[in-house]
Amino acid sequence: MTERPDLDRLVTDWLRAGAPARAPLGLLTAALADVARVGQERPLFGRRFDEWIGRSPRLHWAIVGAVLAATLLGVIAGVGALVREPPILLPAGSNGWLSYSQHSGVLGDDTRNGEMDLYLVRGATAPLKVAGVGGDGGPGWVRAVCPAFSPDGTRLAFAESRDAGQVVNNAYVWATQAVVVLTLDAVGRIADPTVRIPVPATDADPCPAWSPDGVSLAVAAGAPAHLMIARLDDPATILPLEAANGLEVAKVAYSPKGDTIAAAGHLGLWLVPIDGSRPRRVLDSDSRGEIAWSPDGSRIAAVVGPSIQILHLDGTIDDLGSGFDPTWSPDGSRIAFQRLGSGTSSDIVVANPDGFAPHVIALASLPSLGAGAIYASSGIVWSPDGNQLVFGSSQGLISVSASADPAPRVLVAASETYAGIGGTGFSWQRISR
Amino acid sequence: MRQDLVERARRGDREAFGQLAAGEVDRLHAIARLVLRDQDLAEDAVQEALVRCWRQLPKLRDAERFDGWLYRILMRATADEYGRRRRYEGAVQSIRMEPAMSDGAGDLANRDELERGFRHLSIGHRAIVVLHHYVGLPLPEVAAVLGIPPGTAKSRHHYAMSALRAALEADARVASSGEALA
Repeated sequence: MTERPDLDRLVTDWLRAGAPARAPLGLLTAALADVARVGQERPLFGRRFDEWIGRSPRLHWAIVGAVLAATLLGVIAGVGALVREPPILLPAGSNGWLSYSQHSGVLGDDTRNGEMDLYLVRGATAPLKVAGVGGDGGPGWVRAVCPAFSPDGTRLAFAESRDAGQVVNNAYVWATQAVVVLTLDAVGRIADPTVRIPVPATDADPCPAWSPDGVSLAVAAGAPAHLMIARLDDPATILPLEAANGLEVAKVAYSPKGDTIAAAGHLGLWLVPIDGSRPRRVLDSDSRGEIAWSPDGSRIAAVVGPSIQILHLDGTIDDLGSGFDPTWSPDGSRIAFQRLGSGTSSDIVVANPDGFAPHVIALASLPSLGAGAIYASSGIVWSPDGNQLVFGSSQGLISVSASADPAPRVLVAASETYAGIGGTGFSWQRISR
Repeated sequence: MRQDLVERARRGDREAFGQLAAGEVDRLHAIARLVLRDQDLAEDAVQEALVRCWRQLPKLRDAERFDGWLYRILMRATADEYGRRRRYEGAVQSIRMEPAMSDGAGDLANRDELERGFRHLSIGHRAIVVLHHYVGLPLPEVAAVLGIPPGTAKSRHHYAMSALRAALEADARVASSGEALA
């Protein structure tokens, strides 16, 4: 056998001898041309987090374990929920639950007809009561009104008053009042957590208005009522908005951008910046009726005296004539409102925001709803897809098409004993996921 | 300077990455050629490794560990290229011989025997031999680059060297028997 040098040395020399000194011309150019076409992958939680995790493998595995455990629990819970009751899956942008309130007392029983229950309805399903008398087992009388779905559709806020003690000046005086926020699952069941935020007693309903980010609710509360902000952070808090001190307001509404709150009272309408700067009065007459921001935040529809006015943020005002309950279509291209019609019936007007091209749905002429006068008791709501308008009436909860042919439909029939349906407003959940 | 290039490239500076790649491409190409024993495969592997390097740079935790990190990317790219070519061309292929740049071993017989023995090694074993004997990484570092336990790296290196030794000794036996017959 031929004597060979040390194998390690031999292999090293052989590799070095066989290694090309230079890469071929064009290889780098071709590689960089490929690089120019692709982006970089960024760490999921940023490099600092990545480095921090990298220095602590135990923490890394602890986090991985926690995520896996949470995922497993989530899967188990999800499977459990599916087994119990399959959720109703709706496409994003479609119409979800419609929330409304109606009297829980018996007509004619004036001692208890301030009580209202809160319901959810969707399609042909029977209405589900989610709050009110017997709704949550609470004691005494309950008035659950002014439903408002959160912008993401997962929570329902409403005004709650309990334990009416007496009637003063034809108004109920309630022992406790609160803004309540329910968390709802896909089938309308109340899930944890339910947040109840007590508010200072007021002689009106403390109707909540969501901030666009779903973190805060604006409320008119206290006596006299003033603007308060309820934050749903942990723990939930409610505080007066200091910049609005001294303003007596009845209705409040967050702007779509969330930077301003419109606050209306008997002395006018103010725009209150939430950054604490000074409120600006934009109307100086009684505007305690409904106020509604256009979806793009450029205009506010307000009821001023007997008429509806469109207030542009540049200071100009359009008068749409007599009417009440203005409400913008989801895309902001139309505005619907009520006005007195023939007899005791009311009309619903669907118009361009400048008041032109009005399309009038005369409720008295809707033949399919049966005999008798029809009047919208209060409030109109657009469906999230912009195709329907729903209002409460003496005939029940009515849906009409927003197009030329109203094609009315009774969603929930009113009965002798349960009337006043929708009398304190509606909220229609938009499926956003 | 080089660390500065790594930092800049990590933040998305393509010019810095170009300079960085220019300084690395010869070394990467030599390693890929030694492992794959094929010029086309080596070029494809280097090209792919540089693209992966650019894409994944923001995830590099420590710029000082760039070399080992880059070797790991290159080794994965070489394994991928080798596997892809095998799938396309069949399990058995004739890889053409590339002329060596120089005959540093000084022993043509040994060179051919090593070539033959090396070709019988898996791509993983070849990577260990090249990283240890050509790049000069200690075996624990080779293990870190390849993402395998140090013990595994040592045993694979031992296997690879035994295979190369066997190739050399087999050739020596043939030569001895030839001399005996003569």
